[in-house]
Amino acid sequence: MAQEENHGRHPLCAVRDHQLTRRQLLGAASGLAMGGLGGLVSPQTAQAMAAREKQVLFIWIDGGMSQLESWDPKPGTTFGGPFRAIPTSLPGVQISELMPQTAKLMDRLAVIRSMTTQDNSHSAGVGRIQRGDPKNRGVTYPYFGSAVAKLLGPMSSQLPPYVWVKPGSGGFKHQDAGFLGPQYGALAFGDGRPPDHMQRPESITDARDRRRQALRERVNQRYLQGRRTTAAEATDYVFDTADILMRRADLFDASKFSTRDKQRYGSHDLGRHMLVGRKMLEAGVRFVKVNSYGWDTHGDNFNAHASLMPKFDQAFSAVVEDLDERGMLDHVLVIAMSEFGRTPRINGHIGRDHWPEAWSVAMAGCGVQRGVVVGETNAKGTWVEKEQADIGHLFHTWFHALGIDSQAVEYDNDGQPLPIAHDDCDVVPGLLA
Amino acid sequence: MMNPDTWLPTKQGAVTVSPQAPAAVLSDDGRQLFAGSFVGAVRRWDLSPWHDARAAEPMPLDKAKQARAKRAASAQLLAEAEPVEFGEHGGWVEALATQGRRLVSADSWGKLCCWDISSAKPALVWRQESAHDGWIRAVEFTSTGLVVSCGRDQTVKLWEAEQGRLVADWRHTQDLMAATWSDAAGLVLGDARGNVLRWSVDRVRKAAETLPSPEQTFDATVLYKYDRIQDVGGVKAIAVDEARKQLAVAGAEPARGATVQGTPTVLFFDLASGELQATRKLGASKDCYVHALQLHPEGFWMAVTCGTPGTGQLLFFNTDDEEPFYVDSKVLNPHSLCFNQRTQLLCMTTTNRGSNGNGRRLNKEGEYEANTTPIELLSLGAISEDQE
Repeated sequence: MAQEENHGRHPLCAVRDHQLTRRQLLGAASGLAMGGLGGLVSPQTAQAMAAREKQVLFIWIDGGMSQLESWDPKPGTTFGGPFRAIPTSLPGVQISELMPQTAKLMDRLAVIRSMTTQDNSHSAGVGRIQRGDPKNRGVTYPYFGSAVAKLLGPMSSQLPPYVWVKPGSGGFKHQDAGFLGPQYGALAFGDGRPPDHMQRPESITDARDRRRQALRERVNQRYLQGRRTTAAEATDYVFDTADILMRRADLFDASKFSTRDKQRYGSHDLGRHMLVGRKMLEAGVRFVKVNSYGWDTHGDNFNAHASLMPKFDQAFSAVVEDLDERGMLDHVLVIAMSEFGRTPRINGHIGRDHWPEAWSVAMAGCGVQRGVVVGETNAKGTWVEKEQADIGHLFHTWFHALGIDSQAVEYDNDGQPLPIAHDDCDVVPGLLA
Repeated sequence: MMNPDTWLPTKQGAVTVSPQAPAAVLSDDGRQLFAGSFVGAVRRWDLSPWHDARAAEPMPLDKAKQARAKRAASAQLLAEAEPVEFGEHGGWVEALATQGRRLVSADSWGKLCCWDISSAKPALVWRQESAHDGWIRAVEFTSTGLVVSCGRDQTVKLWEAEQGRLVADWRHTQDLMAATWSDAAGLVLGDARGNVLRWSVDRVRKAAETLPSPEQTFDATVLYKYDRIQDVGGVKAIAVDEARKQLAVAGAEPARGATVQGTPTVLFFDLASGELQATRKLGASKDCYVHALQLHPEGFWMAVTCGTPGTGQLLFFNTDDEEPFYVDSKVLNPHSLCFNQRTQLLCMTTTNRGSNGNGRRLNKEGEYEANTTPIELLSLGAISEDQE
């Protein structure tokens, strides 16, 4: 009876005990990255774990970066705008003159110019894109970050698997997780700062903290009686996460960044947040999302992109080059994208409006081909001419790049099997290494 | 004091171009209209037939019906006028200036051309293929035989107007967005952060190889804002009121970036001291930038605001008055304005109705077409005696 009441668990065995045991085994309380496991696992296990230590840097350009002022310029045409195109390190490929640093790295990137997606609104479009726009099965699908957090799990560092470095406020964004459960939501760090009150007050000593934790666990056990384990797991997860972050306050210490790094990435928000993102990846966070807001240029589009693109160019090229130099690009998948592109037609405010019809996404790193441009738009950028792809195709591609067979692996939503990417889509072969 | 009613504009008609034209100017005699484009060309319209038709009979102002019929015929003439297209530019041709028989055109890829406009098809006088690295934002003729150009490469350059030889240049730290020349003030430039720089006539005249640093600066940084990671605003237009010895600097006081919002603003500075003497707000946040500003010989200002997401305005106002004495808020997203004193003709580039829209909106033929630029022509007051 006691076991049934405790949903199959021994009444003296708290969920947290299992997690502590797992964390202790992996030696992750010290925040060790892969390879630094203190000899607590066998070499075979370590190798298998290293193979799983794939990561993602997801750069979200909120509002809609213009593909015509970035990856797919059409200079000298009706809709081409004022800017020129420049050659890149990839022979025969040109991008906008607003990205001279990125142009030098095109031989490390994979760009798809033939995206055609279904939603031209921000409010619905952001979610649809970041969830992979799956078929409607009456459930809320997870964002890509939550999906990766679930499918690949936390890394040996045991740091939160999905973090979000963004301007403005932070907090826990459980909505990203959809049906996976709030545990797989995004832990957002506003302006790259740690959560409020992360440092224990000096008046609380180690001994006093241990007594407080012990009391909390006893109260949790009583709370657990007669309740679903998931409720307690979720609560414990929050405390575990806080505990880990408190031990890794160094992750948020901007003074530790070298002058060279700060200059390289830029002192603007996107540069600073990208640098924090790199640090998170180094520390062993599975999925890092870095946001930039303010790209919805319905008016004054060209002056706006003249200002915005150089900052993206600086931060993006810095992180790709930096990851490559550190030997991380082989296991970090880098993605830079928006929810759609911008209209070729220039409106009366000298702006461009929303355009899901033909736009571009850039990638680099883990599992993707280096130095390739896939898909084509027509001469004016108004239609896709070759290799049209939807976001579902990219989800399949990214999962495969991360070593996940998107056709074979399914979610188990309380007994309901669900595909992890759109059923009617498949990988874009030209993008995979 | 001028009677504002004398100068209220009367619409005469429009010539419409596609793809769009970011700017248009009139020749000194007001008989030629030139427009830039989004595809590297310059277009010219001969307005002589239209001027001649207007001058053929005096307009009896007290006979409204005859006046309306005449305007309709006049508008028809304009609508049917065919432009001559010339030019060998790339990108956008946005910067244009005329002086006598000369037209200077500049593009967003950095090329500068000078044309002889005394014949129906303008002839190239000189060109500078790589005058600037990228977008040339403004060109001006000086009264000292020079052409001034400035742009996104943060550089201002002086060229011999006749031969196109580079005389001097100077590098700034910000994009240079606007320029004006007057015999009272000399050369005045405005940048993307709201800084305004002035060189006297004498300093420009003596420049050789390198233009020395500006001898005066004006603080118009209220026209700039850093929002999220975007530099928003800057100086859009500058003009000098020689009679009042004032400098007018125009743009917007930005509220936000992305789809930019900002209150159209004109700042008036004393030329000698640099002191800010007056600030005029010309609308609401949706009206955004003052894109163009020009002083009428009678001493009032003419300006256009584009509107984001508003439709735009044509405004006439006096420096000393809080409110404009004329506002047309039904103009559609004007971006440039040029007034010709001799013919009292004002030209204004606008945009077709319904220019906005997400997604792939097609026309009746199923084509995805570009927006157009109706270049509105308006007359102010009576035609000058020279014209008759």
